[in-house]
Amino acid sequence: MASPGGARSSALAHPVPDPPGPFLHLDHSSDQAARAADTLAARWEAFERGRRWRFFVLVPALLLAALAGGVLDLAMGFHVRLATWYAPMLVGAALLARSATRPAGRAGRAARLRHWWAPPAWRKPLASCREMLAAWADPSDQVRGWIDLSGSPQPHQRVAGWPRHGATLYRDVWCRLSIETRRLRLGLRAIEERLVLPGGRIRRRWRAHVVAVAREPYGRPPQLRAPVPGAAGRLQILAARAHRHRLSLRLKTPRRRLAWADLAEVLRVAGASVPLV
Amino acid sequence: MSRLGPVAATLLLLGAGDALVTHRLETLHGPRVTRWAASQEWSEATGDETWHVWPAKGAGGAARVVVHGSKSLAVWTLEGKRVAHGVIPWGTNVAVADFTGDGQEEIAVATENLPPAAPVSVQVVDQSMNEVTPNVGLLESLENPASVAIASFPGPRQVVAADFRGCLASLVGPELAWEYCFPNSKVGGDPYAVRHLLPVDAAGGLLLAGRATGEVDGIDAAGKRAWSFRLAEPLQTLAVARRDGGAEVAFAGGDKGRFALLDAATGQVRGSGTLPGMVMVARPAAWNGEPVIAAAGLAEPSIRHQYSGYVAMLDGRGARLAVTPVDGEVMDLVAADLDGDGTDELVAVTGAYRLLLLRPSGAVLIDEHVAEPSRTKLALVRGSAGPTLVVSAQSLEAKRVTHVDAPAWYAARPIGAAVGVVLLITLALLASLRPPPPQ
Repeated sequence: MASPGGARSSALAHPVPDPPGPFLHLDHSSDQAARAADTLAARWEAFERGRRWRFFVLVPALLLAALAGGVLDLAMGFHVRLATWYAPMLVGAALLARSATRPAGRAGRAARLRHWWAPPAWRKPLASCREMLAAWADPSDQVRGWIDLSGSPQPHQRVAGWPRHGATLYRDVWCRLSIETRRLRLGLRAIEERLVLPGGRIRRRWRAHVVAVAREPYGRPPQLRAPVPGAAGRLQILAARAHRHRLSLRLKTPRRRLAWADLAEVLRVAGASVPLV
Repeated sequence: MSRLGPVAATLLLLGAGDALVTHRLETLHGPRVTRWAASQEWSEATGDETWHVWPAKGAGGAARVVVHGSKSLAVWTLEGKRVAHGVIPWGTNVAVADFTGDGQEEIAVATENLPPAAPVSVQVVDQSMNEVTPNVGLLESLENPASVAIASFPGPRQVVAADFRGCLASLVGPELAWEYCFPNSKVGGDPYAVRHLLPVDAAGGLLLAGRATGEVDGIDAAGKRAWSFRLAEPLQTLAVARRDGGAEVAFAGGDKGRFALLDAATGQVRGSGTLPGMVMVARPAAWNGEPVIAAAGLAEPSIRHQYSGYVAMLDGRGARLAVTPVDGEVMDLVAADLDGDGTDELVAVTGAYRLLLLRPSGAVLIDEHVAEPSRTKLALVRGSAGPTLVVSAQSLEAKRVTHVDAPAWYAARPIGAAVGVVLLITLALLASLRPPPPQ
């Protein structure tokens, strides 16, 4: 398993991720990249199912068994505490089962009970990446980079200079891809910024940086036009800069998604050659 | 995700906790959980305060109860009928044992005749209060009688009486067989009294005599000292337990909690130690088929939650098997296997006005009120219908102790095993939850 830091498109050093979230290192042709993303998603969905039923079966069963111990002693009428003595062990096992079935991609100590049955944090971003990779079906296209949904906050994600005034800023680059086709070189970086305020409140924002370089193997590459900042479907274009056949976009993305269909439309309008979604 | 290691370690710890709890609960409640109850079968007024109660064998092996009061001696059947009654002077000492060898037990009586300094009279009577031996007066051999015993030495049975100075005298029929005095037995009084006389079979038959000074002597059939031992504090109680193979062990307990276990044949110390306080009473008992000593008394200072009494179980080497704090000092104690599981149950009267039925491990099975603990004496009498608890204070009460066993699955071991299986299943389910590796 190569370090994502070794991916060619990555300028940032990135340590080997600390599971438990999905992590995919890509250095594939486009069709293989899509298949790898599908395989990863299927495996994690199976894990999620296993995690859920274990939590919903084990934890209530252990707690009920602990309760039943106390009730059994009362019901038997022998005036001894026998099964009751085992209740703390069963409660301990229930707490352990709760901890061990913690949802992937969430910090254990901060997780609330509702997180156990909420949709997994990695599902939307992974689906969004799969959607984008699925669009590039030509085996001659190359995809490099990584998708890191191993969760936040992790120590290496803490931004230098933080914490300040009791607040800590984490920057989680959860997707860094470079896609190279005959007519386009696309670099993409999706970021979640997470500001943990004193008292545990959290503010998040999702950003994406896109660099598109048009290519033309048989002549001059086409000039790309900068789109007007503003809403573009579910995306918000914060800044756009074009220089000849090079386009740089700073985007605000919807909640942990790339919104590839909207991004593809923005690139197409700018004059880049992107596959139809 | 590297959660498996801590999960497995924690579950193994929980499993170890499960095993420990199971062991402790099984020690406490036994292999079967049992519900106990004591129902009063009959109660009869005795008209006297009770000093001692003995179980005895009557004609045809019928169970009898001998009640020794301050001024009376009575024999009762287990059905609550008084078959004999005699008036005795205050201060009389009594012992019950088979004197004639016919399977029926006789009663030895040692009385200080009035006026003071008159001869001590020693006599053996049967359970109908008829004379078995003539009334013999001992003028110089004994002063006030402090105890009496029927000694089963080889040859003719002897009746041995001891006094408050530390002297003993033995009679064979009407004849004086021997006299014996502890060293420095010149002054009479409680600190010098020989209150404990216990015949044992060891070394061909000995009589163990315990003196309040802490001295315990083994005396043979000829009145010679076979061995001598001295406890480092005043002697409070003396008991004999028979071990496997017939060896007998004598337990000597002191008034500050010291105790020693002696080989009854040689007087050699097998074990010694200190209990939480004054050893007021000791009885031979059985725990898992092994002979042990149940010793109980007054805890000084209070132990665990201000309990001022204790019941301790000691093995033949003096090792503490269990020490159970109880509320109030233990004034009387009897031991018998009431449920046939090979472990004796203990019945104790405590100074907190409680009558307790306990397992040796400390589980309280029955807890009842008693009106006068200091005057309450206990005996467990085996009749044809099982053991009957006889409680004697101002009245004589017979209680039937019954028990209902729980289903076999409702015990520490099956429940502990079930919890262990649940923990194993939990471990297996959590161990099989492995997140996909990065790819």
